[in-house]
Amino acid sequence: MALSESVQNSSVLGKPTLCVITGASRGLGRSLSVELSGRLGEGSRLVLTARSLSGLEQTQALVVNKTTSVSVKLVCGDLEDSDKYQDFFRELFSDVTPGVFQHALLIHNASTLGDVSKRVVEHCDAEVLQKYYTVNVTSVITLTARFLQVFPSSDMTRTVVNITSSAGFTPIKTNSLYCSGKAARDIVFKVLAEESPEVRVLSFSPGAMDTEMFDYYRTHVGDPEVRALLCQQAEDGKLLKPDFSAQKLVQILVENSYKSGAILDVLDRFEH
Amino acid sequence: MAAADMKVATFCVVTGASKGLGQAVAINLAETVGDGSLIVITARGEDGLNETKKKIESVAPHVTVKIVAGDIAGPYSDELHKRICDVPSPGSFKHAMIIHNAGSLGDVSKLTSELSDPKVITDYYQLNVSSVLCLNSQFFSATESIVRRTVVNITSLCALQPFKSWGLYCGGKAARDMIFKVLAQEQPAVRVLSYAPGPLQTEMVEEAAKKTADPDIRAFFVGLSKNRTALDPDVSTKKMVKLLQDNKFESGSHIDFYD
Repeated sequence: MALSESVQNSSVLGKPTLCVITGASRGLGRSLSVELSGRLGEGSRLVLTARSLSGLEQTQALVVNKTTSVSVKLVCGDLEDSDKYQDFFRELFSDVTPGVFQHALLIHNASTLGDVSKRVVEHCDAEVLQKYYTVNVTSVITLTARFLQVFPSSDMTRTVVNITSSAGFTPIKTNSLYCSGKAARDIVFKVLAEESPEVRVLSFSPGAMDTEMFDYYRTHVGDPEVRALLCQQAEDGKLLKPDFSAQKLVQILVENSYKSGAILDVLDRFEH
Repeated sequence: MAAADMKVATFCVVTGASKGLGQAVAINLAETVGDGSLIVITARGEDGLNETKKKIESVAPHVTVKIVAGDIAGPYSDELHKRICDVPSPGSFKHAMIIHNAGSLGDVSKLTSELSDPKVITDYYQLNVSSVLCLNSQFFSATESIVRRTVVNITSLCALQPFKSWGLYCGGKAARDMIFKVLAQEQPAVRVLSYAPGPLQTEMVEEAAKKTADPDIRAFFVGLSKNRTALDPDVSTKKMVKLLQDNKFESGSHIDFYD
């Protein structure tokens, strides 16, 4: 649904925005980058990060093809490497002249499934587990903290988005890592919303999408019942296009009427 | 579901058993289980564990108590987990239980927006989430031949509701609750309970009263202390034991003392 230019310009996205998107090299992250590039106001900057430089470059090419009013900065980095966070995060927010941006938007999209072949009783490697929670929980908390430090509240709007999943409240066999990581993120974002009422906080569940992540999930998940369900979803054409989910999230951000800390679904199937 | 006969020879592990709720759980379970039972109590504090053992021996002399002191999340935890879960003659036990009680509050003096040190968060998840998975895994392999098994996850209202300046604690508890829900689905023969004991008169609550950054939350805990309205860990534990004995709970569910 296209918004009239005046509504778009008056929306929080229509202001000059610094927008950071993690996991922007493919899938939903790529779709979000492209969709947002068409909605952010003149003078905005998209900072795209992921592990894959070539993936980021492809996303950048799509953005540049769509609009010239938004600049793009690419930062390659691995959220598993917490020792490098200081430098990594500094790079994301470098060259930010105070007063230039009126809105700062951070989208925590990067995420991993973990080993979906293992049942709870088979998770026994502390190092593997530590890496999992580092990527999916620690990085999100520390990046948010840095983001809020770089952009203090006084003169601008700040929005933080947690890309989550119904897996955050629905237990799924052999998915204990993914489910628990999302459950942790979801409540941490609720805590953040309560502590910092001046920050716009949103958790968004994009639904099962036709992406590499879903494909990996479907082909590697250990539980046969879950695998059958996922294969059926794919065969029945029930997978959403990441562009569709991206558009829905952007629409929610533009309308800006969500309750801070809420967990919303792409198809409005739930609201927590 | 039929009531659970807990008066049988049981292999039981209780973590964080040197004080507070863990100590109360170890003592109450010792009184509940049958002859030939072995209770393994673990924590970092050896003095506290010795005290727990003495208390158990004075009320439940029919139970053997084994102390394993160490850090379940430390660098040598693999070896520690094996020692904790070492089951002598598994054929002699009718029931195996593990109570995942050990945990920490985390730095409640900081708001989520101030948690900029990744090591603090990673260490927190290591103790409160990852090490629980690892120890649980070891418990399951060690007790494979024991037909009846029960797993208790000590949780909190914080797993369900956000508490300002308690982001680490809320996140850790929410992650644990979910892990144990998945466990319950994957292991239908195992009884899995997430038990929220309520605010207890323990060192953890004292710490909450002193260090919580958010004034509303801090006032609540200070009030508990002042008005002596915090629960006696023994009272809360007895409710937990009753839930296990009645055996009516849906496996994987979160039940609070106040439910």
